[in-house]
Formats: sequence, C-alpha cells, structure tokens
Amino acid sequence: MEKEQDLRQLKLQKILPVVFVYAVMILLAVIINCVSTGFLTVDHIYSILKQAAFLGIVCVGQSLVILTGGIDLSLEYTLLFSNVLAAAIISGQNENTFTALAAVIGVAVLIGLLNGCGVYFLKIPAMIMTLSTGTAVYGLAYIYCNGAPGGFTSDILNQLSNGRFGGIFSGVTIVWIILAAAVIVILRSTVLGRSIYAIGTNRDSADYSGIQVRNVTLIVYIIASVMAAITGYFLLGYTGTSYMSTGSGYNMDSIAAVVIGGTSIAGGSGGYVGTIAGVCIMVLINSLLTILHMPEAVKQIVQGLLIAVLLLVVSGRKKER
Amino acid sequence: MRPSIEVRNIDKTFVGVHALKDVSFTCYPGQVHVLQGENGAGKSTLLKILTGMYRPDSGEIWINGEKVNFRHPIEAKKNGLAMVYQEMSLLPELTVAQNIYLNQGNKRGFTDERALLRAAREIAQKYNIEIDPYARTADLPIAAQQMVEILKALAAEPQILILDEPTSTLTSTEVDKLYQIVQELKSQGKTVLFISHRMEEIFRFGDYATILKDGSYIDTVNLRESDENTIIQLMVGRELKSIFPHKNTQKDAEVMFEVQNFSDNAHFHNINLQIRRGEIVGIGALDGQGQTQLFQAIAGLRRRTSGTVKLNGKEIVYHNVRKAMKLGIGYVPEDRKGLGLCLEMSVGDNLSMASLRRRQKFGFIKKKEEAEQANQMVKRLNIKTASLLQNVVNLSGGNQQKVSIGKILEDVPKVLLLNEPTRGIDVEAKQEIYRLLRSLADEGVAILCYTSDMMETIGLCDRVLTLYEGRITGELGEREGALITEENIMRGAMNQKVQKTTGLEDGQNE
Repeated sequence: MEKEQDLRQLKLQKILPVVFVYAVMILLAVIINCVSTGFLTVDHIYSILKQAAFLGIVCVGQSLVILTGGIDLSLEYTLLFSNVLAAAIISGQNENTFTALAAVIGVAVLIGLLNGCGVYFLKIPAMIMTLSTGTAVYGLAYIYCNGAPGGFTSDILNQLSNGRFGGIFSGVTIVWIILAAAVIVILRSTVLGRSIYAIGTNRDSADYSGIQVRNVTLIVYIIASVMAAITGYFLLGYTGTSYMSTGSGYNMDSIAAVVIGGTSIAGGSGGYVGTIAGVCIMVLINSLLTILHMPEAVKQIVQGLLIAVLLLVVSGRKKER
Repeated sequence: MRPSIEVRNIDKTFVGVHALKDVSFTCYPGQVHVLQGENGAGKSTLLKILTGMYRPDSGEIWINGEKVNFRHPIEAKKNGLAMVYQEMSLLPELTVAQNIYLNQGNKRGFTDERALLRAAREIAQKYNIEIDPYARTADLPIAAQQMVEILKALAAEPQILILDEPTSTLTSTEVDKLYQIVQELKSQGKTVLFISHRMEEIFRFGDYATILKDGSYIDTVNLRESDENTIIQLMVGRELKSIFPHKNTQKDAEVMFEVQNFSDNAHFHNINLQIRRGEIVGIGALDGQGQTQLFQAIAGLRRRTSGTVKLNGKEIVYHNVRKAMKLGIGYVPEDRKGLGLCLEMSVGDNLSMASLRRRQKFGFIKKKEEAEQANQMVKRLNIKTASLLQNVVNLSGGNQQKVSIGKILEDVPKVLLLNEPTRGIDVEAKQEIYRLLRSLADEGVAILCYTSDMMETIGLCDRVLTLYEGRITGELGEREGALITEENIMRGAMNQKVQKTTGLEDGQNE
C-alpha cells in the first residue's frame, strides 16, 4: 500500500513541472482573452500556432543541445544564412524550391558538425564555440549577399508557410507537429534520447557506461543547426523576401522557451513536452504586449521582465523538491 | 572530571522519519570518542545537531558544562567545535593556505596573502604535515586534500574536533599522521569525536565508543575492554558469525582471463596477471600506485603502450570501453557519484545504462524488457528503493553502490573489475556485496578487485597481487606459498619481499 502511494507520488513529482507550465500557458491565454475578447477563436489559435511553429522548430534543436548540458548560440545566424541562401537560390522559381531546401540543410549539417567538433574534440565551452561559429556564419551571410539579400520566395514555399492544410493548420505548423512528435519519441524511447539525458546528467559516467558520447554530441549539434535552417527556409515563405535582420532574437527566445518549459539549463532533465508550452508562452506574451499597443522599446522591457519572473518561478519550484 | 560534551535526550523527527530517539551520551576531555552505527543509524543527524546545522525537537546539549543552543554552524565554531566533513568542503581553485584560512581576513576585511602563507606553513609544521601552502588545492592528490581539510579544522584551534570518516580517502602514511595529531590533541586535553567504517581504526584511535542503531542509543563501551564482534553485534543487533563468505572451492581451475605485459609507461609497467575460473583476485597496494590507471586500461578507458589481453585463452583486441564491454569486460569505478552513476537519473535508467545495446531494436529501447531486467537486479542485489523511478541521489550510499555494480552486471560481464567496491558504505551493505562477488565468482565470472581496506582484501580475495609504483611486487596465495596476511600485503605494497611459508610441513607443525 505504502509503496504504491510512494510510486504515485514519484510519478506525480516527475510530471508536476510540465503540468505547471501548461497551467501558466492556459492562464496567460485566458488573461489575453479577457483583455481582448475574441482572442481565443479558432482562427486566432491557428495564427498563434503558426507563429509558434517557427520558434518551436528552433527549440527542437535547442532542447536537445541544452539537455546534453550544452547551448547553441549560433542558431539565429544559421537561420539567417539559410534564409538568405534559400531566397537567392529560389528567386521566385517553383522548380528551385526543394533544391534550396537541400542546400540549406547541407550547409546546416556543416555548421552543426563544426560546433560539435569544437565542443567535443577541442573541449571549447559550448557557449563560446557556438557564438564564434555563429558570428562567422553571420559574416558569411553578409558577404554572400553583400549585405542586401536578393531573391524571393516561390509560390510553393509561400503556400507551405502561409496556406492552410486540412482547413486549420499551415504547412509550417504541420512540420512542427511532426518534428515535435519525433523529438518527444526520440527522448522517451530511444537509445539516442537516453544517451542525451545521461550525457547531460554526468558526462563521465555516460562515458564509463559505454555511451557514444562523441557521436551523440555531434548528432545533437547537427540536428540543432538543421532545425534552425529549416526555420529560416520557412520564414522566407512567410515573409516573402529575405532581410539581414531575419532570425534576430531567436537565440535568446529559444533558450527562454526551453527553460520556461522546465528543462534544466545545466542539462539532464526536462523534455520537449514542456518546451511546447514554453514556446506558446513566449508567443502569447508577445501577443499580449502587441494587443496592449505598447511602444516597441517598452514592450521589450516588459517582455524581459516577464521572462525573468517566469524563469524565477520555474527554477524556484525545482528547489522546493 | 567535567564532561566536554553532554548530549541529553535529543529527539529529532524529519517528515515521516524519526531520525533520533531520546539519544544521550557523554564525552570527557582528553578522550577520543567514537560514534558508531550503520548508515542511517543517526550519526550524521546527531553531528549536524551538535554543530548547529539542525536544531533538535527536544533535548539539551551541554558543552564544557554550559548549556548551548546553536542556531548556526558559526556559533558552534565560536564555542570551540570544529568539524572535518566527509564530503570535501574545500574550494578547488584556491591555494592550500587560502583554504585553511578561508573567511579569516584581517580586521579591515582585506586578506593578507603573505600572512596566510606564513600561518599555513606554521600550522603544517606544527602538526608535521608536508604540504605546499601555495599549491592550488585541485592539483593535490585526494589524500592531501583531505589533510588540508583537517588542517583547516585545526586552524580554528578547537576544543572539540569532530572527524566524520576522515580516513576513507587517506593512505596509511597519512592515517599515521592523523593518529599522531589525534594523540597530540588528546594530550592537550581536547576532545575528539570520531567516525569511521574501518574497524581497526576504531580500536586504534578510540577510547570509548557510543553505538547508535535506527536513531536510538544502544550502548557506550570502553574500547580497551571490548572487541570487534561486540561492536558489530551491538550495531546490527545480531552476531555476525563471519563477515566474509567462503573462499574459492574450485582449485586448479583453468585460467580464464589473462593480462600480459601491460604498460602505459607512466602509471603501470609490465603488468602480468591471470585470473582462474572461480577466483577473486585482489590488488594489495597503498593508494595511488597505478591500480586505478591499470583498471582503466584493462577496461578500455585508457591507452596503453603495450600489452595483450586473453579471454579463455584467446587474444581479444579492443581500443575503447564499448568494445571492451561487448567482449565481456565490466568495470565498476572507484567514484560512484562522479563516474559510476548519473545521480539525478532514476534507478531504472541507471541500471540499464551500460547495457542499452542489449535492450534495443533499431535504436528504440525495449522498455518492458528493460524494466524486467532492472526489477530482477533490484531483487537480486536487495536494492532498497521505493521504485525504479526513484532518482539514485535519494538512495543511501550502500544502495547507490549496489546500483553502480548492478548496472555493470546487467551487461553480463565475463570479467568484472572493481575499484573500491565498498568505500563509504555500511557493514551490512558491505557484507551483501561480498556475498554477491563470491556468488558471481562461483558462477564463473573472473573478478579483479582493489580495495583500500586491507581486512577486506584478506577476507575476500583468493589471491593477492601486491602493487608498488605501478609494478607487481609479490603474489600471495596458497599456490604461491605465501599467506595472505596484513604483514605480507604491507611488505609487497611497500616494495619489500613477501614472506614465503617454507613448505607444507612447517605449516602443519604450527
């Protein structure tokens, strides 16, 4: 009897942080609905999910990297480079749409490999390695387009990003749902997922247990870069043309979403289910402040404060246990 | 004589756990008082109450005839209590001197590095400890770090010194130094509270011992008038006929595992060893003689410059730990928290971590099989945990160690290497591990084991290889004609010739 009770308590303890984030998300949505009635219509939820999809896909990679105890600060620059490259390759031609996708993924694999090698072989702290890579990638993007990105989306890509499929979701939301499902399964049920948690919890112990620390580290950074590249690619469809400011803010937003979602910034615990709520919370905060018609600068200050409060609440909860 | 410490009717309850039940005991100046009990008996809680980390629910503490009520460790320190913690409390990046005199700036709040160095040098000289006060603490071997920890406590010139398992990381040379320090303190009329899991040290250091069991006071005995069995009996509440299981019964079995000419040209040189079926082979050595590096090399965790490995007569080749594990070589490292386990992961996840390759299909973990195996292991090793979902960090040391061994056993090793398999765990868990190792050996697992507890080496191992500065200096065992005795192990470990029994007849005559 007692043992069963213990068990139930343990299970509860493990899912409680996730339940908590979802509660915050719903609360936030309800508050916004009070401020601006009609916010929670199906139509609007569709649009929120579309906005969330971009950050959500970046967070697929950021989650994995953070779970291994690393961090990726090159993501927004990889996203930008992919965006610029895709625009240049597509130049409005439908037949180039998927060539461009292949190209941006190829480049992303190289960037991720560079990050992973620096972190694993050269033992450079992830923060510094990925920031250096990111800075270099930004430079490459600048040189590539001379500071003025050319080209624009094709109809197919535009449809993929903005059109509705099955009446509700846009293509990019569907991509997000598929990737989210995949990453949740990977983390819960595969050797790769278990290895990611083990490395994030205790790298040495993982090594002693015969876990493939090198391969997992490389794979995780590659996935992160590819996810950023895919996001940059769909953002081109969303906005039509490419800008040098594309992707700015995604590093911090993705880290905030992952950590608000209950993943430990030190790695080893958490998961993508919570991150989904974290992503939605980030988008909802943004919507709320937009609805309130705040000037951009004030909006940024309030947004920063709200994120700080949420992080405090999340990490404060952890100490209690 | 006025007692230096008087604990009267202390009671303490944590949520759901009655940690101390009406505990009383008394210590006198000039005495070494041992606190003895299994893990979870309440020793740590009692010490934490003494030093002001916890406050008792009821009861009184009197220090030097005055009733005290510490609300913070600093107050205890001001009243002359200093404690050497089991877990290192040193800051690794600071120098030795800075660590010893941490928190002791001059009056204006600045530190005076030169004064610190001078003071540190003086106190090290005073207690006859060789240490460079200017060394970065993290660069020191772990035993030297522990000595710094002790110096740090002594620097406060305490009236009462509390030593919580101070010797578990010390080599025997340093244990001797500590013994001298303790004698010195005794002669100055100071009180020492001492905790150790090593029986011979309890008798060597202690004058009196108070035994706790399940949070209750059992007895205080004069150590000059009692013996090991009495203490153990009081601790566990029943007589332990023998701490150690039977020895190897299969004589002259075939050689199962063989290491030839192992060298890394730094830590170990030209090592040759064989393990026969059914045998537990021990390494007899002082700390830091290359045994850890040798284990790592055999386990595929460290490069070697030469050497071959044979399993069942056939040479096996591997260059990393994964391949070694696949071939059947399992290694349980010395540091369960840092190397053996992922503390913040669950018992179930830890148990299957080294054998995931056996429990997967196309990269997906077979969760049902994983849970079955883990449950079997929990039962087999008698791991006390609420469930497989429990995080390992919440288990006691003994149960953590069992998980650390169990995860390797789940990979069904043919050869099992164990480095300090019983460090810092209670007697009962130790015994369970001895029995486990013996039954594994009986099942045909070749076992190589190093432990810094010499009695354990003697009681557990069928054959002992002594190691000194990375070279094998002697071989003890029946076949070798040299008895596995404390003296022989010490001789080998200090590069002396071991004493051979000159023949069977001599043995019979005795």
